[in-house]
Amino acid sequence: MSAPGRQVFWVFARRAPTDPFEQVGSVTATSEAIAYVYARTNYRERSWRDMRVVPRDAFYEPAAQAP
Amino acid sequence: MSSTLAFADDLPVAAQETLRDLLLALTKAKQELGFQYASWCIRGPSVEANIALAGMAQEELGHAAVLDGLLGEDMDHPVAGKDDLVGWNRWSASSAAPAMIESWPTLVASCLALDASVTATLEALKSSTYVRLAQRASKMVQEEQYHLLFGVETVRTFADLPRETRLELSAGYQRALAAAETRLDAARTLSRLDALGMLAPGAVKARDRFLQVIAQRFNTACG
Repeated sequence: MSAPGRQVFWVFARRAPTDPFEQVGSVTATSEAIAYVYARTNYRERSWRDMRVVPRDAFYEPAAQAP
Repeated sequence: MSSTLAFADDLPVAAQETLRDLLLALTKAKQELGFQYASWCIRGPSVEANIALAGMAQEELGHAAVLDGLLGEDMDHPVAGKDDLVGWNRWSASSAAPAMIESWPTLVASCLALDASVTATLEALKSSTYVRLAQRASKMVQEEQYHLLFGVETVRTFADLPRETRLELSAGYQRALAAAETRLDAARTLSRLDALGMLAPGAVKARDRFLQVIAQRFNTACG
């Protein structure tokens, strides 16, 4: 649970353009833009070529349906 | 533009003096940025902001050490000791010592202005005929892109502040930028280097545009 106005973003990155994106962690932020900045500055242990952030809430799963 | 030169010794004396003064001012500004970011890296609004501030502090102090190294290796300027860069007592002993900024929005606006002024100068120096400086400037500008983004996007988080506060913040940015420009004296020194054929054509104007873009982004973010 995050503070009001803040949401969790999952961070994905890859080292080469042909690599698949892999999840490297998450950040909590008030917008996608600041989440991206946090991701870039918080996950610098490797020199990632590309990085993306995705709101965790955007990870869709259909509601369970009765058989 | 003259051909590239590997070492400062190969530069005309006038260019060496101009460059030395500029590098000294840039080094001092980066030390101050490192000092301010480090002072806030356990006081930011979130753990993510704190980690970002800690990383930016390390990068600024790293840049200061690189510039200081150039001054020492190529211009026979005494290299500062590690404690000269960040010791609190060293800062407070100087009459021009920067005070720690106590307000988060003011810190963000002030550091963004100083960072923008320094980075715009490095952007111009990327085209320097003094190759060792040009290479280091390119690397620094690359790392600085996230510092500027951090500043602008953090300003956007101040949207809920009262309009008067945001107007004052915007005015504070302009004051801090004017102070940084005066302190670096980069417009004059870069024009001089340009006249000596040490910069690519248009580098000085590109610096002005760089500063305008950051100011516009700040004002848009400030709302």
